[in-house]
Amino acid sequence: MTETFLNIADTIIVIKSEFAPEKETTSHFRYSNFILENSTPKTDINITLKVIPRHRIFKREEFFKTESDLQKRYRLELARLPGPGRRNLDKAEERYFGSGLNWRIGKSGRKILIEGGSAGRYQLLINEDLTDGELFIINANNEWKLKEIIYGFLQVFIIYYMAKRRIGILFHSAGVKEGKNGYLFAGLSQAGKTTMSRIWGKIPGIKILNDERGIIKKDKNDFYMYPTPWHRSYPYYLAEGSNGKTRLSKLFYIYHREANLAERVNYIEGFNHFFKTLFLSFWDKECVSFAFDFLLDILSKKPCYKFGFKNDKRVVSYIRNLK
Amino acid sequence: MDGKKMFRKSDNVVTREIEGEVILMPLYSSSKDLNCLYTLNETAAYAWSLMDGKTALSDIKDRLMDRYEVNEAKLDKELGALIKDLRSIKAIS
Repeated sequence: MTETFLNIADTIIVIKSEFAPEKETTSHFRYSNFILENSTPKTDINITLKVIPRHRIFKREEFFKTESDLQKRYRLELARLPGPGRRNLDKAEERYFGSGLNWRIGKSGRKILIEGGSAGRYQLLINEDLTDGELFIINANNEWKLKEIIYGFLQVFIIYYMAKRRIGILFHSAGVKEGKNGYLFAGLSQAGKTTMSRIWGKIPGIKILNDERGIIKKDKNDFYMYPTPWHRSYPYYLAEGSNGKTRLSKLFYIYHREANLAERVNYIEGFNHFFKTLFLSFWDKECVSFAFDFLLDILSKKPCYKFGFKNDKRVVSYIRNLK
Repeated sequence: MDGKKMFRKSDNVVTREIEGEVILMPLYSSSKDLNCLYTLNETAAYAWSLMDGKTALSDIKDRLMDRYEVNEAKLDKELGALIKDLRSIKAIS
C-alpha cells in the first residue's frame, strides 16, 4: 500500500492506494509543492483509491450536476426587485465554475457520492463528514495519475469540504504577499488576475500565492490567504506551495482601466462585487449560508476596494500608497 | 391579484439582510439553472418579510400602503411584479 500526502490550506489529505501514481514530468512542478515529502500522523481527509476497469453503479439521490463537457460558464445576475427607488439591473456577468469536466454530487445511502470526468472517470464515495472515503478511478490500464486527482475531483471536493466544515472559502482571485501584508485581487474571468500576478511577480521580495484561485480561512479572529494548486498561466507562485499562509490585509475587486483608480466600497457594494467571485456549493443551504456569513465577516473587518488598474508596474506603488 | 392568496417563503432559499436590503439566493440543482443572486430593496424586503404563509396578500398591500406613500394602482402593479419574480425563482410558493 502506498500513501500520498497533500497539504492544501493546512488541510492534510492522504491518498492510499495499492500502487503509486504514474510518474509525471511536464506539469508536475505546478502542484509539487502541495505534496508532502514525509508522511504525517495527523490527517483530515483519508481517501482509499482503487483503480477499476469500469464505473460502479450506485443508487443515488442527486443534489447537483453540471451540464457541460467543458468548464461551465454561468451567469450571475444581480436583480433589484420592484419598489420605490428601484435601480436598473446590474449587468449580468460570467465566470467559470472551474470543475474542468462534468461532475455531479448526490447521496448514496448515508454517504456522499461525487462522480465526474469524461464517461464517469472517477467516483468518490465518502462519509457525510467528508473525512473518510473511497475513490474509484476508472482506468482499464490499471494506472492513475496524481494530476487527474488534483485537477479533477479534488477541486470540487475542497470547495465543498471547506464550506461544509466551516473552514473557509475559495475565491476566484490572485494573491500577493508583501512582507506581512496579503492582498487579494478578486475578479471574474479576464478581469486581470494573471496580469496582476505578473506585475507583482517582477518585484523583488514579493511572493505570488496564486493567479486564479485562493482560499481564505479564519484563524483566531483574523483572516488568512492560502495558495491552491488551481492556477491559470502564471507558473512561478507554486514555490510557496502550502507554506504560503499570509494574513489578509486588503481586498480588491479588479477590472482593467486606462488609469489606476481604487475606490473604497461599502458593505453592500463589497458584498455584491466579491460574492460574484466565490466558489459556492449551490445545492447546500448550510454551505451557502456559511459563505454569505464568512464573506460578510471579512467585509466588516478588512478594507475593500473596487480597483480599476492599468497594466504596468505603477500598480505596485499605487497599492502601497493607499491609505 | 387575488387578495386572499397567501405566500410562504421557500426553505430552499438563503437570505441575509444587509443595510436594509435583503440578499436572496435560491439553491440550485443544476449548473444550467444558475442565475443566482437577488437583492430586494427596502420595500420589497418588507413585503417579503410578510410572506409567512398566514398573511393574505390584501393585508400585505394594506401594510405597505400604511408604511409608504404610494398610490394603489402603482402598488398593485409593483407587488404583482414582485410576486411574479419571486415565484419564478421559486423563492415563494
